[in-house]
Amino acid sequence: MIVSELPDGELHRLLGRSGLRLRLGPIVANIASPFETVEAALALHYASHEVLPDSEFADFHVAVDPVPGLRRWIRPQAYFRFDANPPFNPLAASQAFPLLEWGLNWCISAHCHQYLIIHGAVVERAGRALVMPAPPGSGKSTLCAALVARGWRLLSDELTLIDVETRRFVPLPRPVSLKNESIRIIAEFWPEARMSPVVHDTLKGSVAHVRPPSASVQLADQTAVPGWIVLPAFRAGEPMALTPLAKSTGFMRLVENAFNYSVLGRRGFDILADVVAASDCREFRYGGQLNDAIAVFDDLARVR
Amino acid sequence: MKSYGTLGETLRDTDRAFTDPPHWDELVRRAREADLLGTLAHRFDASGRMVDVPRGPRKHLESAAVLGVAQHRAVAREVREILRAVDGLGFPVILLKGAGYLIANLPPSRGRLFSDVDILVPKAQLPAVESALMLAGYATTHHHPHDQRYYRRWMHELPPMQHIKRLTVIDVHHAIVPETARTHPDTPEFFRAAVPIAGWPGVAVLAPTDMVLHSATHLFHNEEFSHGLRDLVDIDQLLRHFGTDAQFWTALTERAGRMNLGRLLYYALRFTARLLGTPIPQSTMDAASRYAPGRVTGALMDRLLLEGLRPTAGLWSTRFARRLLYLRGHWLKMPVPLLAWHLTVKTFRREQQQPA
Amino acid sequence: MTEQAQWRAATPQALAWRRFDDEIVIYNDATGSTHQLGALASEVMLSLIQNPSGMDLRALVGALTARVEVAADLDVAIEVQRALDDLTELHLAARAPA
Repeated sequence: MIVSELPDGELHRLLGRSGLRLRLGPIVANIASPFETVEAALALHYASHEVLPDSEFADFHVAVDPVPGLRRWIRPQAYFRFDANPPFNPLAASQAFPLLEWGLNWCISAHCHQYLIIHGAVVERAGRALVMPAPPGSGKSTLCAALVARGWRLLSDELTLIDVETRRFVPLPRPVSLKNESIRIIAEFWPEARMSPVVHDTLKGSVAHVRPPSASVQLADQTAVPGWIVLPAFRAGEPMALTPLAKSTGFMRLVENAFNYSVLGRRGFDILADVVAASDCREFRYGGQLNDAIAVFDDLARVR
Repeated sequence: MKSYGTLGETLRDTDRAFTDPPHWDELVRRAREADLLGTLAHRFDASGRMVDVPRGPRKHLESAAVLGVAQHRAVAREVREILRAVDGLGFPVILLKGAGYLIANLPPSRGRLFSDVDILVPKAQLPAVESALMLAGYATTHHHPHDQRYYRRWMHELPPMQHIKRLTVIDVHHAIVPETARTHPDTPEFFRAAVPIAGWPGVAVLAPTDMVLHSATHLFHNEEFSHGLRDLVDIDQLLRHFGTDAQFWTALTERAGRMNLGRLLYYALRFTARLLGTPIPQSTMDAASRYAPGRVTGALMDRLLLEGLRPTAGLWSTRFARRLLYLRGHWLKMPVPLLAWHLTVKTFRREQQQPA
Repeated sequence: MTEQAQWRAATPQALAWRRFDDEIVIYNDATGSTHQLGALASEVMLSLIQNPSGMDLRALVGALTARVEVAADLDVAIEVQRALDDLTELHLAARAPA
């Protein structure tokens, strides 16, 4: 059963009691929260995700709860709980859903060493993965959303998972997060996108999430082999350029953007080296014309 | 012994996970919370039963094992760096707790998850050690003057030092229990009895009896009880490892008596036997009972410690028990007037840090 | 620092490396660090790895010029020495004891 098939009121009941147990690609999360905004966002973004019974093992038990005491009423706050522990400081209650998403990212990136996990977006075409490792501000989320809008399959917009045994990219289809300007840009570029209401004044500015296409969710079992590694750099107003990137440099960028590379040690080195060896490495500077950018990527995909 | 939850039982006997399958969800969560997920993974591995663990929980156990290996590598590197930094100061450094177990290759190190390195140096050498570490790139933390004073003057350690580039943390101790506390073990004596480690010149670990006693003081004197069960597991493993030598047990009680740590030894033996089934010779239990508290205190401490040691921090009674134990930890460490002042400042500062 | 000084890879057992075109990336388990080496440093490092008994500066220059084309105006010896100094600082290379 998927979330959208739950009987009326069931989502609300689950979130308030034992928790909603969701399959997120290879991960199962048990989520509890009394916030209406969280419920609405889950109903929207996770509509096609499978709901599991309590008998299924859950990898993470998380909750987004109101901060008790005075802060429940005066400038209310929310905090993220992983098991009994709050790993972060609380945020304004309006940010409850983004907090859930960030919290889940943290849980996965800190505890799932059966994957080499890279901070970056990954999409797929013809069975091959296109990875965009990138620190914040590089425009990878905008590009990722745009690619998905034009038919590339979403594997993940934040956490790229590489199975340490198979070297394959494992999908983790979840909402795509957009910040500030990208929200408007993507809303124009992708009018059919289902977006949750913008949340303002977060540490990252204004944040909104886009629902992952149900096809991406349904194909979550299909892994991808290495294809391309593209380092995006947003340079407003500058001409677009897709240029070759030395593989050794591409390799180092992956290392710099990996969450658990040092945990995996020598094994992590071998995995990334194998992935880079099998990938076409590029640098991509673009100034904002998304249609042109997508055309460049589509061409890239045609060549291989 | 009252049933203590799946974690305690599975630690004692991994086969129970298959004859009497636990809620794997709960087992993994409790183990992670108690910082014992790596230890549990090691037990399954060692008994050859990891392959039988269902895939869901197995991924978490294996991840914890991978993390443990990475941390061990990092700690070994860090110890080498520390040695390089203090080389030439002319005295050995004693590695405490996790780092000690790891470098000396003792059972509590298997699967252990830890990250800080704790070292013990003679008090008179503290300034020299601090300078040497700073030269090697370690910077002090806890910059608030109050905390600096707290650590230096009233506690038994420098404020934690963090390496600027590697971000690893060292805790430099000059005693195992703070000076202002009511019990005064003899630190120079620990140094005299320290045991060098083959292949690691310049570094030593505590003698076996002292290792057990230190673990006991760490468990029962410390402010934070969230790692209570983990500390008990350490003590259990140390006792089983060293206890194959009959002389160890006599030396243990004698040492405890001489160093004024009898009461702590009594608690340690009592609770490892009760919770983890540690095999302790009856003669040793009898000898340790000499140091038992009076009936009322004993009953109260029993309840508090049993509650406080539960891995489930979520239970209300556990949290309450932990708070009381937290106060007790503080009480043992500092004379009361100081304690009130310290707690007041800490509370005030926490409120100041709340987002406006 | 004489020309007869012998150099070798610092902790050969702990090294893992991969070549991509004319550069290598190298992982050192002894330090936990990963490095990207430029073309010249890569050749020097590979020579050291391939000659565990040690090499002096002259041998390294010889190995380099035999394998790769070098621009005529380049003072190879100075560049190789510079590379050795860098590699030493990264704990990848070391002076072999006399």
